[in-house]
Amino acid sequence: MSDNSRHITSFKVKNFKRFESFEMNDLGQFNLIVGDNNVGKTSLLEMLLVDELNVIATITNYRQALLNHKVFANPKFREFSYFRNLETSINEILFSSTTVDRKFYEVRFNFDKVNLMFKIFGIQNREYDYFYNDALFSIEEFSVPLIPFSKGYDSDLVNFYSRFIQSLPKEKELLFEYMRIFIPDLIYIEPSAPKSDESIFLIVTQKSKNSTLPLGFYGEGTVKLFRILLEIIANKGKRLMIDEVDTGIHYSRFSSFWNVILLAAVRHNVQLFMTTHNEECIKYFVDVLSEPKMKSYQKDARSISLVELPDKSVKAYTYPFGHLEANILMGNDVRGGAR
Amino acid sequence: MKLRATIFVEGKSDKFFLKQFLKSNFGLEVPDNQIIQVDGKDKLPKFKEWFVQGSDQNLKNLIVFDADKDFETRGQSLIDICDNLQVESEIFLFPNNNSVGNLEVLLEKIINPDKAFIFDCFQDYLQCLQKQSEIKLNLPAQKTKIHAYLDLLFSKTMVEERNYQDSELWNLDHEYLNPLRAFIKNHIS
Repeated sequence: MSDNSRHITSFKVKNFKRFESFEMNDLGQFNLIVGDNNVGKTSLLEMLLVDELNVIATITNYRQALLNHKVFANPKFREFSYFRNLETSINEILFSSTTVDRKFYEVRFNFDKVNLMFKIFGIQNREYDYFYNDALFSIEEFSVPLIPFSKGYDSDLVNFYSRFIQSLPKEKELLFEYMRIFIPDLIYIEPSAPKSDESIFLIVTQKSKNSTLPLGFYGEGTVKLFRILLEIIANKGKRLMIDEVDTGIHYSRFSSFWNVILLAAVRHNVQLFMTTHNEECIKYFVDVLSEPKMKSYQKDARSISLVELPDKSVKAYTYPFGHLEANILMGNDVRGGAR
Repeated sequence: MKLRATIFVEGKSDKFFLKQFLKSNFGLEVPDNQIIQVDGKDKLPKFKEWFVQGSDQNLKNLIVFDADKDFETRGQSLIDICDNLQVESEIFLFPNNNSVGNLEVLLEKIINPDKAFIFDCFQDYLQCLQKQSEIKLNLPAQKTKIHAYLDLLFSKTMVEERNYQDSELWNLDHEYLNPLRAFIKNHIS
């Protein structure tokens, strides 16, 4: 972690899913993660859900990650518990529930500032001091800083908007300004219930249209940009993980997409970790950072290539911006992958 | 069989020639990310990650560059750069790892002899150009020569479209290619 923010410059983990031992070094504020299928890009984003300063936030984050994977049958996680291991000084967290295949599983991890363990076990002998129960805290208090693959419009956006944006006029206007790259004549986006007895939707008002439309009616790219921007604003000073950042974005929009995402991240001091398989997306990332007004951020940009080695371990190779740019200019494949 | 190496070349003309050479001589379809273009020796440090990745995957690093005007100096400068980067690599310099020159010199050696007259005529053209001194020219116009050879024979001239496996134009079995063949063969298994 650097001195003046919560951005990390290196990360080390042991026994997290497929990674027995894994480290990333020389991280920047904008990190593109590339690599072959099943090399562990999404797992890497999940590793970063650990919150060094907040155990409860960490629990919430991992619970949501497990829900994203649909590992557990019970979406409410009634059997979810947090224990502290009496035999070690390290915080240890235990999730337990019945999985979709009706087997009982426990997911356990312990962490300190640099090491994280994450393993699925069968039923264990409980050598733990009961510390925390699911019923004692509310997931509503936290925004989980991970945008999973293909997360489109959902009711969570309304809650999110209400909690983090609605009461902040300056942030709200900034959000609208950012969104105008996809909806140029946007006036505002506000939660609204079309009829008093119906659910609340986010409604878009445009200058050129007499009627309003729900945000969900707009394309996947527009919803995705909105979600990313909300998360950036909500995670001010922290880090945000975005799986397959390019999904839903037309190539002709990549330039403005990157422009607004990177500038928003700078303004709100958010460290980004984003996976992609898309070569054009990476090229536009480099192009945008080569524009005169963006050049000063090149020092903060990295591409991190995950590669499986012959012993099946995975290693991360960090490319500083100049190296990524040189590879793009020479037409080398910058998406990682097997050789 | 597989190529157990990453090859570092200067530009796309080298890459497309080597890909076809490997296909023709060894039956190897080498993926794009196993032949890395680096522009020139001074840019090599910007591609260090590929060297490290290759070594981690038990692949040898092979540098295939032009010898240009001084074979010894070019070889030594590449060794020095690799030492500074703390990476191991083996070096081959076009045209034959023994002489000054470049890829175009090698290509000129492996043309179809029936078409050699084109290069003979080109010599007269070059001599004519060399007579004038007022305007600086890019002589001896080696790339132009190869381009003209292909164009005159109704073949595609763009580097990435050239067909070196067309025996009417090129001989990829030529003995002049033996040093390159031997160099590569060490890294195929």
